[in-house]
Amino acid sequence: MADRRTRLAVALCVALTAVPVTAAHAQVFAEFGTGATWSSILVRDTIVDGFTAQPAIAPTLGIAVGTPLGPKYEVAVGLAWARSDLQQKQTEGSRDIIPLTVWTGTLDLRWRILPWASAQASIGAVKYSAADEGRQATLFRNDQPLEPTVGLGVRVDHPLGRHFLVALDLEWGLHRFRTQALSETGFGSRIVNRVFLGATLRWSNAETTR
Amino acid sequence: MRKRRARALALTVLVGLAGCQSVESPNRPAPYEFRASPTDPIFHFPSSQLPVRFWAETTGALQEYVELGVQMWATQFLYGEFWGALVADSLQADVIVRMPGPPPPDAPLTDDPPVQTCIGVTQIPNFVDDGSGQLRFEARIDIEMRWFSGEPSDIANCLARVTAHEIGHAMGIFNHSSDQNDLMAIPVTARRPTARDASTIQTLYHIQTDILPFQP
Repeated sequence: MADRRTRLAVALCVALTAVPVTAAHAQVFAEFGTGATWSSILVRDTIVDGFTAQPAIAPTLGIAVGTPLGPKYEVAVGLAWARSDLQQKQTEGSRDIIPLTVWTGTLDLRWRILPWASAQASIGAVKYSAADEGRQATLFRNDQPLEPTVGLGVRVDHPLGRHFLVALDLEWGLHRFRTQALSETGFGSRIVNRVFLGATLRWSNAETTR
Repeated sequence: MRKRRARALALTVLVGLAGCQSVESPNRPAPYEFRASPTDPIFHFPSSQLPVRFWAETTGALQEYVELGVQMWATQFLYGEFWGALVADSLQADVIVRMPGPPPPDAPLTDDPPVQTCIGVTQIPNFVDDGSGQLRFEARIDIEMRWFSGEPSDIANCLARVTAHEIGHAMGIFNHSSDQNDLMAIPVTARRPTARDASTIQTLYHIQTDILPFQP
């Protein structure tokens, strides 16, 4: 079921990106971003005492390529990588469970809302990947979940020379989280929020104007 | 237009709030007593000492049974509380598994009904105050496996089951379950940990240990 949805999302991404690239007469931009991602709780459980499992704030790298869709709109395809420890948190403190990598692939539609700011809506997929060592003893033992995601964001930008632009991004994404090991234990799925704050450097083959 | 924007914003907030939903913990079976006596100190391997290192003699398929048993127990956890690895040097091990005598006849594991053609004994070492007020084992945990005559597949199945059972003892379950379906019951008839075994080992690993493992 999840695989079918994922395949659909990927097909949609490819279809939507292929059309505007052709239409924009090869006006393209490329972006490199870095920042940090906060994630909400993945699991809340009680064994003797209550505790949660939540990724620590993760250093994040991202790349994107895109093209304008007119004076106000643009579309981009992005891939982000975030890595931190999955932590067990309870009143007595926290401990690291396992290193966790989260890949996010998105199709982003941006539109300018102010001369110096734009808004963004995204769809895509999130993939969790836990380190191999010790993974069998965790909620990620049987699978590395891939879930559809939607998101919104705002960007404040400033031109940097003729072809570059620097931006500050705040993005929020939402996806469902579940794993086979959690399901087998009797857990349902959970909605997870992720918030990214970071800076992006953008290069465009067209002159950067406002 | 403004109404549509307001609706979109409200929907966004609602969807965001959905992320704050509280998912209840699943109902797990009640654990059985894991201490030999309810007043005994508690032992389990601390998370700072993972993976737990197992050394097994190369007799027959003993290493395979140990690896299988460790993996079966590790997969009872969701939060990385316990996992283990086979090591080549017994001096580096936390748990030693031996099988004295000749190797058992070679046979694959099957789903045949259990036949008692083997036994296992886990030697839990004495513990002492290590000088800092902390209890610590004086030696490594030792498991000894023995097999008797029988059908080769019965012996193999018995050794795999009982090795997994003894690994449960080495992990800190120093008692037996009264439910014959559990892996930690005697005689051992279960092939793998049940939900009650899982609940018991999870409970044990979520309680502060009183005794630390042996440190050479």
